[in-house]
Amino acid sequence: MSKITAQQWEQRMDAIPEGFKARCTTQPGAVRYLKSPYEYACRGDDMLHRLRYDDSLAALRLWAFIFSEKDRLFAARDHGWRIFAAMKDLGSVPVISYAVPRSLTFYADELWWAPCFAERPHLLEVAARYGAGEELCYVRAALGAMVTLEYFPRPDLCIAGVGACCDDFSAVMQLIEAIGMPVHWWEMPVRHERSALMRTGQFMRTRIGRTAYLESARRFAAGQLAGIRARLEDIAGLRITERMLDASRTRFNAIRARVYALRELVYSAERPPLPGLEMMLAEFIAIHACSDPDESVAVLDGLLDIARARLSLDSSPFGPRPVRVFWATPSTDATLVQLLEDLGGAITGTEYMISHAFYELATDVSVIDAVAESSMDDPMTGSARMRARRIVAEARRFGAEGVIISGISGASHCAFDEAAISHMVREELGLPVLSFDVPFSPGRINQQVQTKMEAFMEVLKDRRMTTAGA
Amino acid sequence: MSPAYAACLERIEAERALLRHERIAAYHCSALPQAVIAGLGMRPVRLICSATPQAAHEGSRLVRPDVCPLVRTLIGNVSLRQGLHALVDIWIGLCTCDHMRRGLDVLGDTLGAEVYPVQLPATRTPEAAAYYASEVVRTVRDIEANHSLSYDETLARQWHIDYATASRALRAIALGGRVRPTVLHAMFHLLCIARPEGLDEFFNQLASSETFCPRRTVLMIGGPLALEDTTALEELELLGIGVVPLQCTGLGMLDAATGGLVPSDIASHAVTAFSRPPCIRARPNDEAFDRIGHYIADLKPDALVFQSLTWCDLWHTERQRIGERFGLPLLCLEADYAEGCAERLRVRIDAFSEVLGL
Repeated sequence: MSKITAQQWEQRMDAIPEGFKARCTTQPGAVRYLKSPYEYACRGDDMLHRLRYDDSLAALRLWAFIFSEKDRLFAARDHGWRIFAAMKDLGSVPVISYAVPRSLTFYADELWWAPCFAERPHLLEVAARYGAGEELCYVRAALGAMVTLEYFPRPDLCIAGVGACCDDFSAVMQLIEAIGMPVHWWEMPVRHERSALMRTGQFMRTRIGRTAYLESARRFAAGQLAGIRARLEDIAGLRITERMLDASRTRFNAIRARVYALRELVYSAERPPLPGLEMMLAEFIAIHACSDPDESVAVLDGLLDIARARLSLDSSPFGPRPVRVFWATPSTDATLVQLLEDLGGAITGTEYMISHAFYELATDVSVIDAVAESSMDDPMTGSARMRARRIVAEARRFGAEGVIISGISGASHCAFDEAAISHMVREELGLPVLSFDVPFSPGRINQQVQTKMEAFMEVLKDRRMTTAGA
Repeated sequence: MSPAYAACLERIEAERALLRHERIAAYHCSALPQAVIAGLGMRPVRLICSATPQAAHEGSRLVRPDVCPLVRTLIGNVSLRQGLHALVDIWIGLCTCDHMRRGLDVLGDTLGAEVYPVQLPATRTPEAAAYYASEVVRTVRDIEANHSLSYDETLARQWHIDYATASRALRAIALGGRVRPTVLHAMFHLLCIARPEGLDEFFNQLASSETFCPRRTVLMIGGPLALEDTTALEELELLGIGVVPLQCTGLGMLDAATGGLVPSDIASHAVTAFSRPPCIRARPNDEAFDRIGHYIADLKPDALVFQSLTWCDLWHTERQRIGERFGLPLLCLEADYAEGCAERLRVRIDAFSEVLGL
């Protein structure tokens, strides 16, 4: 089994069973979306021409699902649905907002990938005209997209999480409001580290992530989330009942459970049954369901099926014993993941700052309380040390041989995360670490980054041979 | 250096010397209700100083160079154990921005400082104010427990009254426009570190000795100006330009302290401090813009001077909107405490003086 190009997918499209194509539909309007990466590339995401893809139908469906989100959002507007733009919390707000009937929620943050996939700085240039220049991370593309409305229709409401968030996106969100977008601001509480100094606050632990948090912070988060619910009720002109919220929680738990299971299957395998890029896209479905929760479940089921089938057949897109690399912080340049695999590596563990979105929401408390507790697992709201601990634990569990930290120039957290993660990985795991900022490099891989990755992979291979020899 | 400036710096040095004999709780943001620290029997000291190239360089050993220079110099000074930073017993760390929040972690985790983190909400709702108050109360209780102290509201109340008295005097002086920019700057920093009792008299004495008659007046906005960060002020002063400083190291640190009822407990001290003029980091930040607009309407300045710190996204991204909204000549400056920064600022201010017809 090998990976194939966008053009090869295009050539195979006619051979895809009609029944499968018909199953690939999204709401509203039961729109068919199964098109090849080649077609999506021709529609503007030029980088898709340069990538190579897993050759399963499940992977094709995943790529098409992700890249058709724009169509869904515009179709929803045409059908009179409400459109909500969640910003910054990465996983919490959609559980509440999807309780509103006939509505879709997308993350404006995800537009940070758009210039890289399009291989054009258009959105960045627009953002710069409105005050968000190169000193900010690529998330400023969200401002450009809010101006041009090329990627989504004008949102009925932007739901902006501030407080324990990065400075760059806080600034971008303010500029988004300044151009006239309706914004509901809510405060994301900082998750203070438990320490010997903090003697009087009541600390709890999240049920799955086992993250320590102050109960006062969770309570405050719950109050803020209740405020979002009330604002959505105003906008939608209806009461959001517990039953509606519960149905949304059930749908998101179905997604979260599948993403969690998929990660476990793929990252624990000696030869991962799915490539890194497909896994990255699948992981991001967890935060907002790519504007269609029901179809998300079907897409993830397809990936789980193919992963299980390949594992049982000992089949994989990778050769024997690829070098196991843990990847921290998603790379804006998707071709770097491909480069890693071309160099003999495989991603066997990730921390893309959305790891809280893989944990199922508690079902024995109100939805608001469950989401508030889940938000206490968010790596963004806590310390770099907490994130480093999570990375060390996962890298150890999945048997990583090295760790790559791909930073984002201008991102306020990256300036601290890199040192904390590198230090802890080296100290506790004794593994090599490669960290670099990913530059905007349309049409080709940045030569400097490529050289660093090549050298890093040589180090990991040498290390493996040395260990085997010893 | 003018005699008044020299006198003020001398007083700052004298106050610093006195700090050697006190238990110091240091902080950075003017939204901390310092009176509650006084209520604990500790000395609240706002450390926006020692912003030197050496400290910035040392900070860059521990965090990346693209971290805000204020945070880097904080880390650098604590790492080098120099100046006032070496005297600090505890840090009350207000999480004002992502860099500061994470920088405080470095202070505690890497450098072993005793840091009490407090979230200062960016939103300005009653719920946010109440949460901030609960954070401050929790912190006071933790400090009590860790240092065997007992909070005394009488002490806090007296500090609050003295601080308000000094603040009123300083506010009147700042708005009067007859004090040199460097002197005014030093006065604000004196208030950051000194006991407020009797400071109003010192301020008034100093102001009465001043004979500054500005040819033009500018409003200064932007991020905090460290004590040593005087290049822009000196240049403006040389050109005969008076400065009304609106930043949180200027009138922004006073506006909440000068009026209103005296708080009666820790939570109400916190809510009063939280109600200070909103910083640009507030979400939404339209009140921060409105505040600038009110000062412009009242004082009719000739121009705006905007100075922010390198890598401060929260201020940096607002330059354009500020320019568009107020329609006054706008000079944008950026400081990073590095060698060479001063010369860059001088050149820009010199060019700007032509815009002002000087």
